[in-house]
Amino acid sequence: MLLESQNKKIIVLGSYNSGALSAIYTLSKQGYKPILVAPRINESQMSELLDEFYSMKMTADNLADIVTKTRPDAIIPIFGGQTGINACIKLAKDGLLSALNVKILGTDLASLSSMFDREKFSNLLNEERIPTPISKKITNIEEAIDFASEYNYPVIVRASATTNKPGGDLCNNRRELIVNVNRAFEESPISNCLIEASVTGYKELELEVVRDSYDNCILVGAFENIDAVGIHSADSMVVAPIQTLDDQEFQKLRTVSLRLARMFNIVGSCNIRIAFDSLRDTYYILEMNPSFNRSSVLISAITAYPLADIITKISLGIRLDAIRRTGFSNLTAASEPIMDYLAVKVPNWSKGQAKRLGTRRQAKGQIVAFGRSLESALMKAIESMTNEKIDSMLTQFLNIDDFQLEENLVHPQANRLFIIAEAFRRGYTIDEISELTKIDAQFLYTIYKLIDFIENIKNAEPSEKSIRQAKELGISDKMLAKLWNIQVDKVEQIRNDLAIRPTYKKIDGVAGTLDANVSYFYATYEEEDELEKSKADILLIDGIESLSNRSFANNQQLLILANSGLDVSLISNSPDTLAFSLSLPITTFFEPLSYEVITEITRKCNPETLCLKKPEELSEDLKSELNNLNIKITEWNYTGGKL
Amino acid sequence: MKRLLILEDGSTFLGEGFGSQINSTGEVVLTTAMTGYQKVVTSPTYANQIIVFTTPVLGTYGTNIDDLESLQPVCKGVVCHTYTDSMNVSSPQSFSDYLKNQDIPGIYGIDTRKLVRILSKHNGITKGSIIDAENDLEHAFDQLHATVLTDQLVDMVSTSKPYPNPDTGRNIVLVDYGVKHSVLRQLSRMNCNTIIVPYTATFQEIKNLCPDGVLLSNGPGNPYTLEDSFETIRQIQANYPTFAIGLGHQLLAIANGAKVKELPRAHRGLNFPVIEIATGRIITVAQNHSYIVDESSLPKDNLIVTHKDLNSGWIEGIKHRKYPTFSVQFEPEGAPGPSDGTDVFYDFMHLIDIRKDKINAIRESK
Repeated sequence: MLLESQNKKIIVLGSYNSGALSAIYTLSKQGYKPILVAPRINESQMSELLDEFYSMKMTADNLADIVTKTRPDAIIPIFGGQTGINACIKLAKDGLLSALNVKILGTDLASLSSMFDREKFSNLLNEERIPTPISKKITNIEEAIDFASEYNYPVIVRASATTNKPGGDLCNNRRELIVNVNRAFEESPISNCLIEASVTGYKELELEVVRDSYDNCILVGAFENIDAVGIHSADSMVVAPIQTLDDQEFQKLRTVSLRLARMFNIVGSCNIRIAFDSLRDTYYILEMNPSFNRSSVLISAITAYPLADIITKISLGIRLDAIRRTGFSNLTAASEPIMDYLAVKVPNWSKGQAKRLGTRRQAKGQIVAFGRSLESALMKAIESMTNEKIDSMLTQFLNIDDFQLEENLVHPQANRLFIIAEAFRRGYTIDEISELTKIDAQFLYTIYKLIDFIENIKNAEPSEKSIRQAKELGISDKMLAKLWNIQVDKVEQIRNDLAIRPTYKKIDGVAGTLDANVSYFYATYEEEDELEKSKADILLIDGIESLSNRSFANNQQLLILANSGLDVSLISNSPDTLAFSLSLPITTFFEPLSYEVITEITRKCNPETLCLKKPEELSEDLKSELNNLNIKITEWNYTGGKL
Repeated sequence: MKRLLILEDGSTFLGEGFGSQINSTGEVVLTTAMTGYQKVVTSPTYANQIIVFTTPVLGTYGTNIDDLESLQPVCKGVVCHTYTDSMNVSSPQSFSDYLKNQDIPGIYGIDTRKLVRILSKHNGITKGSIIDAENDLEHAFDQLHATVLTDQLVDMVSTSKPYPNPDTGRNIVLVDYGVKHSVLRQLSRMNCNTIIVPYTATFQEIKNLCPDGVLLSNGPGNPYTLEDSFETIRQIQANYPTFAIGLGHQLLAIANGAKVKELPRAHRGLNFPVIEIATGRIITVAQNHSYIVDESSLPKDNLIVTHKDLNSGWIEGIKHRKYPTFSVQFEPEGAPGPSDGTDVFYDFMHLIDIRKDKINAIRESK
């Protein structure tokens, strides 16, 4: 073990996602005394779990105070986001860490800072002949204009050394360039910025790699952005596994990702964003992010690989092949997860958000949906969007003329899926829409198939065949009711009479080839149901995920409940909650939060109580529908024991 | 068109057809490969097999000429959950059209996860057929039970005449038990002047080609059906640096006195962690085998274990103690699959160079 002292105190830095919660849970189980340091901890809840924690703004000074006070053996910075990492870097520079003999566990600070310094990062990669977009550090406007003349518009401008990473600004012409460069100079604490030749329009892929301190390195998973480069990845729709690359292309990306992880001495995980030019068969490394961020959370949820837990163990010096995977007799963390399903992530917007999408993040959260085809995963994701009505998929946007429609295709907004659907209705071809949106034709084909089915089924009779086809495409009873102009309980009743029920498949990470004692499920309409009937104490209904700090605070309650000894089941479509639940002894359903889904699941797990996470976030319809289930309904506030 | 997949144990799976509409019978196997469906289907190691993919969607990138592992695929069917045509403009034809032209039937729209869970519990070979949904079921099952699957698979896929893959580097003779083109591609990358010979080549015929090294290729089926190969392999290894892959590795082991047994659960996929014993390094590799060299039978004075499958402990690589000869059970060329294990090809080149240096040194001293 890495630490010799009897103390065994480790500070874990936290940020907005629940990674730090997984870490403290893992550390406790490994016999350490974790001290949590994070912004906005819900103190009354946390005091039930931990003896020592500090809720504070993550600054170097604050952290210094706590380190001095608590005298830990080590700090794990990786769950604290870039802010936490920067704070540690400052403490190391000031000599505090060496003075107090505090180790940094996980990827070392020097490697971390070189990944965050874009210019340094580019240079290191170029020395190794790994392609990155051409970039240059600039300190005045003239240099920017010269660069753009040489490399052509569009170009991307990024403020240097900022801690929040909004994503850089796309400049299509000189006027935009001047505005954005000036803004970047203002935003940057060191008054310079980086200008980059754009790779807009290429495929954008993200790969998550894990490496231990013995140089064992694996690919956890990868996803492909449906929206092309140019839209911030938080605002993009993504799909896993990668759909449009063949094996040769994919292995190129995997090989370079492992190589990068080794080059930068990653101990833990990192996320690598790559632009791929399929015409010329070349790629460009856009970014490497070693903190446990929104993409790590997403990959963890998608593959059911308990990433935060494994990163924590790697930080303690444990080898990948010495980390057993719970629920398996013969599987370690050194096995790359295998998917026998698809997952689609869509962004979640706040009410009325309809801004034009670009390189700056605007999404307020993420939703993920699982299915056995791209159509069903996408449809379930659409059904999960809380601020869109199902109607949006069906409605004709009569008030938009063709010119406006094309404008919205070229300059996508939050509702682009529905604009694309409308374009299909108006007879645009896949190629035309692909040209305007720069979205790969394969994904447009999926949307086309959905629209084609929806338009046709309106004229069909409700029958076993039509209902089964609709269910296989992920279409809900509610939407069918609207399409057929009948009441939704009529659809339910027909479905009941025909015994068309969802079948629950396990997400085991081994595609069904090994016995897996795991309890993560998603629903499809196939033959075999792997979920046995049971009697749960509590069925938790999750709330909407937020990319802000609420996610972390909310999941504290989940940890308390999981630790309580009660039989807990959870329905969630939030990547952060799903990823977090992987370490917990609960049954999780990776499903949309709809009445239909909840009803089907309550049939199987017969809960004593239904707990709503955030009743005020649920729609009024849903709340009244849930009352029909005749199960006791409460909120998430059970209290349990210490970790 | 409605089609049916039937298994020996009586299971039936109703689905939709794609590819060819013919009926076929073969050994039903599964692969967990998430990429590379065209490479899988054209790999000679899948001879006479009906391949079930755990990855749910096939067809997304169509087909392309780079993805052929042989010119004439010999698998007997493709099974998946969802088939989709591709919008990829650089694909000359859809995956379904390709299969149709190659007389390979496909079936989709079935609960492949249920099927995979059934297959994973079966020991040994599972026979199955893809038939029309309208066919007489009883008759189809009778035929299935009566069908004896041939064990002369290597004969089906091996070249009948020697042919060259010319280049300017080291001379390699490759004994073809059903070689994948990507093995040849890897040799090309290393500029090897390769001559591919039929599996029936005699030692004298190989000797006449003056190889610097001999490669025993991957291939389909049970190694014990190739009794005539063992003596030839013993002669080869005693005279030339020898490297073997897959079936070649099993033949090499038997030739040296080890035994090969059937696995309770076959390994076919791209994500297997394997440990390199000398260094403790873990690599992720593609595997495609239902037989394994039995460690308890390994003649310890001749052979040592170099690689093991991490989760099961099975042998994935061996080396000869006395001769410059070694082999791997996994697929180091990937295709499809990771290239973590490709080093072994360079190790082979290195062995060849060491021997050449020795020979030159002897010549010079004369």
